[in-house]
Amino acid sequence: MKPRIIPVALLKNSTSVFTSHLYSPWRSFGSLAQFIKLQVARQADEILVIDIEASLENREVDDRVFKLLVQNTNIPVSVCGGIMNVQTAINYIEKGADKVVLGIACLSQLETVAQITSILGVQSVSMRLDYKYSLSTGEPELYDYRSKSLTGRSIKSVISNLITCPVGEIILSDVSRDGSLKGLDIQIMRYFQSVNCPVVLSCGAGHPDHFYDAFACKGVSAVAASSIFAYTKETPASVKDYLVLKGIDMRRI
Amino acid sequence: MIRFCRNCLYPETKPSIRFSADGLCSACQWNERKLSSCFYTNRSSQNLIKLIDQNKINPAYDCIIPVSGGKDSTYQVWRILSLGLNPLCITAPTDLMTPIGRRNLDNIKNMGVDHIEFSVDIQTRRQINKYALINVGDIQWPEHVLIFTIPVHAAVMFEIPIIIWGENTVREYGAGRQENEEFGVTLSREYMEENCGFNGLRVSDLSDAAGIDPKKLFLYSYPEADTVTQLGVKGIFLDDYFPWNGMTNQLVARTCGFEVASHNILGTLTNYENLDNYYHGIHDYLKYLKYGFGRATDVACNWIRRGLISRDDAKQLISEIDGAYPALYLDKSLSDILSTINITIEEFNIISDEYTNYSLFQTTSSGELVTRADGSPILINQP
Amino acid sequence: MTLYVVPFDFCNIGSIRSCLDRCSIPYKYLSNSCTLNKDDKVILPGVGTFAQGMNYLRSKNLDQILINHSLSGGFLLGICLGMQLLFESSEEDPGIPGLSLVSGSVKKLPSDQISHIPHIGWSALDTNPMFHSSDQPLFANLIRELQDKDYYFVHSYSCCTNSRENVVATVLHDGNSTNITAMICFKNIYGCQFHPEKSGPAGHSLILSLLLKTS
Repeated sequence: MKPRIIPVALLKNSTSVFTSHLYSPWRSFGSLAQFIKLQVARQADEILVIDIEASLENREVDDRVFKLLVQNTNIPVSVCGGIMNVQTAINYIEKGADKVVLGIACLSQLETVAQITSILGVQSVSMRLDYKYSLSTGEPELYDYRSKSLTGRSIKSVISNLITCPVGEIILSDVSRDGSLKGLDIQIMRYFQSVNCPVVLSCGAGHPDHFYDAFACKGVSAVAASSIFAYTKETPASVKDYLVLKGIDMRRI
Repeated sequence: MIRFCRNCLYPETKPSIRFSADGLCSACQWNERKLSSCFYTNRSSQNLIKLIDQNKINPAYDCIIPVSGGKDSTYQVWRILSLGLNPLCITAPTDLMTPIGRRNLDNIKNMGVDHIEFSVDIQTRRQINKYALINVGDIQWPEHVLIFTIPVHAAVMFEIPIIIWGENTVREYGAGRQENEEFGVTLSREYMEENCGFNGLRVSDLSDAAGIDPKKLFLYSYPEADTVTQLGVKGIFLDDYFPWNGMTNQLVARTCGFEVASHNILGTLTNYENLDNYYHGIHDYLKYLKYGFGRATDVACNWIRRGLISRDDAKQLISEIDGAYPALYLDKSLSDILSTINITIEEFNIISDEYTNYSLFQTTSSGELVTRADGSPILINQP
Repeated sequence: MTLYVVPFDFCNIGSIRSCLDRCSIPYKYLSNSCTLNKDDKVILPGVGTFAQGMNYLRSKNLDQILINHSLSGGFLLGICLGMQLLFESSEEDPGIPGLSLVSGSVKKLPSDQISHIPHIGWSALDTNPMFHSSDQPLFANLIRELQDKDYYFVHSYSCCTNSRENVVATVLHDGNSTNITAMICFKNIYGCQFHPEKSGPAGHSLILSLLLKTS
């Protein structure tokens, strides 16, 4: 399997794309329509859309997001945000998502996760784990973006849940690196060696070498990135050119 | 609910804008800094002349002034000449120029300066106009690029490191990172792509994805980084030395022969800007659909910041004007303008819909936009 | 020729529709009131479980329509789950018979420390040499179409058949070196385990070839 490069659209105000708030103020980057078209043209392997306000506002992702995705992509799209019950997950797939991405709202309700995977199939369900290393224990803990705080729940406990309640893919986000362009957290993979499903690393990619380091690590199937494609000259295509020169086989058009 | 600046009318949807904790937008914050007592007294015209002199390489020309023939560039030429300097005026080509735009550009030639007007292959340009309209919702993308790249090409060709810009559009309109606010900006590809309204589209996309021959893209591409750095090409903003005011610029420009329109221009509050080409209406309409504000808001905000009008009065003025559907721009119909890039009105409406941020506008219960008589959507909440 | 698409529940029908719109190929949704002609074509997309897929077909009385259409030589294209439904049975839901239009069954992909389940991502295909030397231009064209292109896979089960001559292409499952059936062709039945409608320009071109250039 060729490693995948997945541009991420963080949405606010329904269809405006923003980049991380951690290293610069919430910065509007443009409209979703332009984001999708450009990333597809630049050889993205998948698109991940995250509506960060949906859960907070107790609503689903806007219909227009799906319309724009369906009209403008011929590659897989994953949609994250506002999934707190089975019906929402079904709605997203029927409106055009290929995969639904479950966040922290779902993690506390494993029965819901199990129901969603049994109806849609494990391959249509991904799980996003935001985490930070605890200053006191040095261990990675789940982070809740809604309260902007650590939950006290270790990544290890989530992994044991995943064995009983598997999902199709896990997206790992080291929140402290979000928007930093300083590199991905590869160390986290030592916790995931026993997990069977593909893992996507996210947060911090700023240079093609970061992708190289990630793909050299066993278990990493894809890298999801946002700021590198907004603020540097790199595109999915240019990162692939670099990786191919370094001997990694990438999907080409 | 969209937040608006408490002082001017900019919404938080404006790309790259920031708000302070008490609701002041970054454009207004910058303006407050400028109004502080030391800003202009520390930077006199003598400083400007000295800076230009220190960087002079070409024995004949002191600096480059990018000129369009508009009110601002006409004022810039007048200002630089009044300092006793000898600029080389460079025009990056606009597209679908209006007759009044042509007359105003020719007027520059009467001001006592050497002037070089660049042209780019029109077929390629129209291809790019169309690609940019479809893929990033910006029909004037080539214009935004060439305005920056051509003066830098000229700087390299003639070995004139100093380029005199007027307003610092990045700071003036509230973008740019606060930590990067500096003077004498070293223009780089990164600076341009990040800050100059390219909507994310890059020149490299045109050859990679749009299949345009790279040989046709030379002037759209930024010169090689090392030639630019070696020459020490710098952009200087006149606004750093002389308080910038579009209103007074046009008054000065008119004394130099600049011509205004007989009526206010569609979608704006003035008769003295957006005169030079027919694509402005389409560009400003797409801006309104994406972000909920158009050129009239930009002008109103500039007036508010200069104490020319109150926020309440500005709100009233723009409410029926901002974001007008460009059915007719000056004397050309929308279908005539679109035919230059082989797009029908139906196709244009579909493209416009893709870029419309529905969360900003009123919709019916079935999710369709509520529109004004001209077909343009109505904001849910006004400033 | 009329093109029909089976409108499964819980399925991203939008992607198929969007792909067909981009190919400018008109289509209708298949229902039990449709009368199919021999030159009509049917696409079975599919996301979800084997049981869900077969239950849908049976509850809407589409199973017999598909079987009759195929037995009289009509064209079928199964995509992902749609391809799996063409087979006899699946380990995913034992006891639920498939359409049995192609001999073989659907088995769970072996999982170990190296290979991921589900099998997700892009991969090039290994084409079956038996098709390379085919004197039928149709197959020669198909092989040329598939070579040096990457397609998108996302599945946990795969189709297993003893009839090698029906397997147009396989893909290697990382690590444990199993060959997964990627594409089949049996009479006028085609199946893609990958999603051509999600495989970028390569998939778009394949769909056009299959729908317009096959009889």
